[in-house]
Amino acid sequence: MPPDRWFAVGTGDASADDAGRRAADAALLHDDAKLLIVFCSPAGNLRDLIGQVRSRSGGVPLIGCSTAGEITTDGPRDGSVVVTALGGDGFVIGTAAAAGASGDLRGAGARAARCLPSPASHPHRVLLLLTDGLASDQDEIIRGAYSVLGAGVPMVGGCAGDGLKMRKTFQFHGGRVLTGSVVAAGIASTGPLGIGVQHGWRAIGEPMLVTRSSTNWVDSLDDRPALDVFLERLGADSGQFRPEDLPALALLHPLGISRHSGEEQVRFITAADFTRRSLFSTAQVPQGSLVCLMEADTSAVLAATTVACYASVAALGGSIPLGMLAFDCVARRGVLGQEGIEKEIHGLADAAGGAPLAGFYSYGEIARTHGLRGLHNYTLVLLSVA
Amino acid sequence: MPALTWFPQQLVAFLEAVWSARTEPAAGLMAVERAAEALDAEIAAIVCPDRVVAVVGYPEGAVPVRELIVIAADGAHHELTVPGAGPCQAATVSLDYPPGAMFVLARAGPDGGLRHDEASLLRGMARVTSMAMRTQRLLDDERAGREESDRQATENARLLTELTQRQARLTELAGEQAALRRVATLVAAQAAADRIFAAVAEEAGRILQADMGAVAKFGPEGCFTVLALWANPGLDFPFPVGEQVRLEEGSLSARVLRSGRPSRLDTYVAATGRLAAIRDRLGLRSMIGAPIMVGGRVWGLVTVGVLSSRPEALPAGSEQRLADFTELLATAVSNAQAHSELTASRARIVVTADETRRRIERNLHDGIQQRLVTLALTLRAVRDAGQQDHADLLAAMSQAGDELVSILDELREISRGVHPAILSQGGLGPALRSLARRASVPTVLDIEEFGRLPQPLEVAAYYVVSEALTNAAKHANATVVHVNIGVKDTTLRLGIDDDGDGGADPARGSGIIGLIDRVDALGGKLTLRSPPGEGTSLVIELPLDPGYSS
Repeated sequence: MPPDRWFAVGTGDASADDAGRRAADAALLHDDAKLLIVFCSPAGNLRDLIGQVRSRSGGVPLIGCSTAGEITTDGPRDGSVVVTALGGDGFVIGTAAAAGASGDLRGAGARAARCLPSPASHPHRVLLLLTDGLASDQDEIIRGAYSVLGAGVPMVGGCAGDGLKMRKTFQFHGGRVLTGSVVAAGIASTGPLGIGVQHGWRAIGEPMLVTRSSTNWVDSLDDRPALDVFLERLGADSGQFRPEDLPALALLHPLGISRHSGEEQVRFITAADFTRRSLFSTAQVPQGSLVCLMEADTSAVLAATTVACYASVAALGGSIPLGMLAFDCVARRGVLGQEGIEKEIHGLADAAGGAPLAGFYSYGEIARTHGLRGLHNYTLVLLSVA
Repeated sequence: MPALTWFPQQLVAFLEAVWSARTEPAAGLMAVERAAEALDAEIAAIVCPDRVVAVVGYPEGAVPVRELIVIAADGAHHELTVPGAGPCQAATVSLDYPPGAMFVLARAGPDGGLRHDEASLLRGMARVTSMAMRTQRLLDDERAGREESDRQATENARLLTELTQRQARLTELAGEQAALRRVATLVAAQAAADRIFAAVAEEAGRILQADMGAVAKFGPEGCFTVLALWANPGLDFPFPVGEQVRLEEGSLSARVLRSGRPSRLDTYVAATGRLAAIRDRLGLRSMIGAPIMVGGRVWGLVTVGVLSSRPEALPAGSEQRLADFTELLATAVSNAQAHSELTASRARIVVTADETRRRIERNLHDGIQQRLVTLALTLRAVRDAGQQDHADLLAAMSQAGDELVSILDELREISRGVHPAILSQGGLGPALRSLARRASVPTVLDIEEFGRLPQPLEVAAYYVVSEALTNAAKHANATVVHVNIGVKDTTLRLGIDDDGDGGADPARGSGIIGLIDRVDALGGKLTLRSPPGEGTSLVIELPLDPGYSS
């Protein structure tokens, strides 16, 4: 007799002909799977890969997205496919896709949120969101979902990646491969679900006022061109600086938006307009905000990992995790380096206590447990499933 | 971060966001969302004494409106329970706008209550919210007013267009009504069929603003006759009116005849017949025709056309307008035609009868009179022969007797209704005087001088007087009859009055019906006045041009 709830992960090399089939077979431990979650490299034939998974899972609801690297218990990977299965009668699942979301992110968030089932017998609930990491204002997705769910249901998830090419990300729903969409799985469980969130970045220097911004573009800081202020603060010569050097520098120095609690909300700078001297962030930096430049080091980031793990597992209230989902900012990979991220993943696996781990390196992380804010950057978000 | 820097920064960000809203409800929603985000609150709401203006934090469709209104009205700090989020500490701040509204904010957790600086920030946000919503309300009203004004302007323009169209249609209808009235007046006045057809052709052409209009009648063996034609003044339009024309395949007339429905011919049809040649010469661009239905049969058609010099063909809907017009006219047209045919038929009867009489007259003169002369000569020869053989005499007498019987037979055969020679030779005046002399009732004649009249008129007048005198003597016991006759303008007027019993009734089979027929046949009018005891008065008016050709 299969367990009331089970959690299993299968992986494969995405370049192999039968990667989807093999990963699915490994994840489908029992024949009562309720949800498949697929994270995979954007390279290769995604339609064929999803088709392979579906050829094994049949009509089991499926969501997923492309990544900037995949995470499993064995460590960080690139070019792989990770299939997670949640099964057993302890789970009740609904899924949704809001395609063409970029024109109405709030509406897409609301539509996605309406998939959450609410059986009285399954009191523990979470909305898992996977969004287009290149969409302009991801906060609107959270607001839309919050308008439907209210404060009672937490949200977790990540913004899909494309291996840092910053061109196009993909979302999966059922057998469909989508772009510019929001896909969601509403998970209701008889067992507890625990969320942990932490980034480990710290502010450096004096705060700056965002004197001009529009959605994701930051045009001026303290009434001066934002790019020039950014480069000067980091000691770079703004006249000599080469555009191709920006991603590496910006990756390690996000903007932190001041919060009353003292913990900054981190904003990832992904590009700049060298003519307009503006900075581009994956999430909104409101005009009128106070922002700081931020930095981190390996130990601080790893310390954050530990905090997130502890919080996530502790939220289970003593229950043993069946598995863990991780949404880890791609920038943390850059800071930690190969050795650092391996160390981080091992830390996660230890925290999971031998339970399987699946996740991906993302362009933004979603975790809403308290208040309305739910979008993060440079952050590790963990969902422990008991 | 120190509250000193945090506070204005949050307020500025809040202000930027809320002022970017485009409507009052959007500003309200933006305010509650941004306040919840800034203060990490689970619940934020703007609550009026009777409604919740904006709220976040509750599941869709599960807002506890009553609870929020109670908390807002109380103003004190309360604990709110949010399903799934546990107990929340609620704080309230009053808003200047909307009237009576409160800003309610609730945060979960044991330290959910707002710190002093956070409460200050909430008050600041409340001020900003009030200002933004009030401004948006004014803008909304102004926008709604402008939209209403635009809508009214659009509606006015639409009404004006509709009115103009209706007026144009009314003018059209009035034109059509007037045209119908003109034709109907002609029909009622029993105008000649030719005049009615001409009127129909012209009215149809004018109503549809065409260059030509025509009325045609279909004949036997695939022919039709154009009965009337109208063309725009100044247009030379030589169409064979009155001539029988052969129907050609594909022509408008043929299509109307075959379908019994209105039809249109907008493009030139390559045909080689006479009609095509005429149409080609005239350069007709567009024609429509509608059938004249008489007795369920296509009797004829009314057609209108425009020349190819016009920029546009006859407009859509012209067929129906012509059909409506034609349908209304069909009855009148067929009546007029029937009347015309009846009149012609009667005229023919009269002419035939009169001709018969003239033939009898010739027969009497050429036949019987000659035979009598011959017989007289024969008898004179017998007398002059003197001492003849008795047997020869008897034979001669017997032969003369046989001849007399034969003449008598012939005479009896043709003696009915003979033109008096005096009428054909001397005219109406002398004939009436002769009639008056022979009448058994004293008759007073009053005859104006007017010369000779057309023969049918003289014959009719003569027999009318003759019949009236007979009636006066036979039925009315009259002691005197007055007859006056004269010509005025184009009418022969005849009055016959007697002092008899009166009470003459055409329905009771007096000879008056015969008089009415005869007068009718000549397109004339007979008026009878015969109250009992007051004598009988007849007035007959006969047109000098009876409107038919023999």
